[in-house]
Amino acid sequence: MKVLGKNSLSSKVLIGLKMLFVICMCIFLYLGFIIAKDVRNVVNDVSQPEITEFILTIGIFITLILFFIMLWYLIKFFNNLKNSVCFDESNVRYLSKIMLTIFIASIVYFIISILETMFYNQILSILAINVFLWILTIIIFCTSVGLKIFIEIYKKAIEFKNENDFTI
Amino acid sequence: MAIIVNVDVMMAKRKMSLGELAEKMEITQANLSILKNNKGKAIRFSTLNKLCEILECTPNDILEYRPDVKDK
Repeated sequence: MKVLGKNSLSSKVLIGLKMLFVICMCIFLYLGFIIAKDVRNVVNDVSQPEITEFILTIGIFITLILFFIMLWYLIKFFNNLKNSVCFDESNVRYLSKIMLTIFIASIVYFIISILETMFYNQILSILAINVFLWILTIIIFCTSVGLKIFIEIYKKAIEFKNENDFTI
Repeated sequence: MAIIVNVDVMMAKRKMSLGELAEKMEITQANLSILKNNKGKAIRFSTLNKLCEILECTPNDILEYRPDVKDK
């Protein structure tokens, strides 16, 4: 199957990403209402589950903003691939920004994990929520590191391509 | 870069145009222009061989080493 150009895999992925962008926009707006409601609840009644829920909601809200930024640059990246612009400096720029957002997301999840561990002491919850959160944090962090390595390889490939293009 | 390609000097000496040289070398004018304007990153031995053959010169006439002047 064709990967680059029109009617290729990248053009289909691009359509999927655009749809995802619209869906995420709806979730983002819906979550905004939930957060507004949660703020009122936490102010009125400061109980343990309420605080943890609030932390999680805020965390998800922040990561959703980061996810938006990542999605935006991913759309630009796949748009380049659709137009058969593969080894270009702009792609490195987009991927670097994606890497940065994923890295910030891992920091956000790291903070959420610490707060959740601090505020929620029940054994079952630690197993159910905290372990999941810590694993998620590690996965996101590893993804950003992996992407950084990929970007460096991509940069080298562009360098080789330019060298090849200017060898007469 | 410290290596200067003097194709334009040799072309002027031989009174040869870019198009004519490109046609004889069987490469595109765009590629020859890259070489002439010192934009190239590398030159193949086969290209250098053709250049020397057509311009009736040695690689020494085409390539020149000029050290980069560093700003202090």
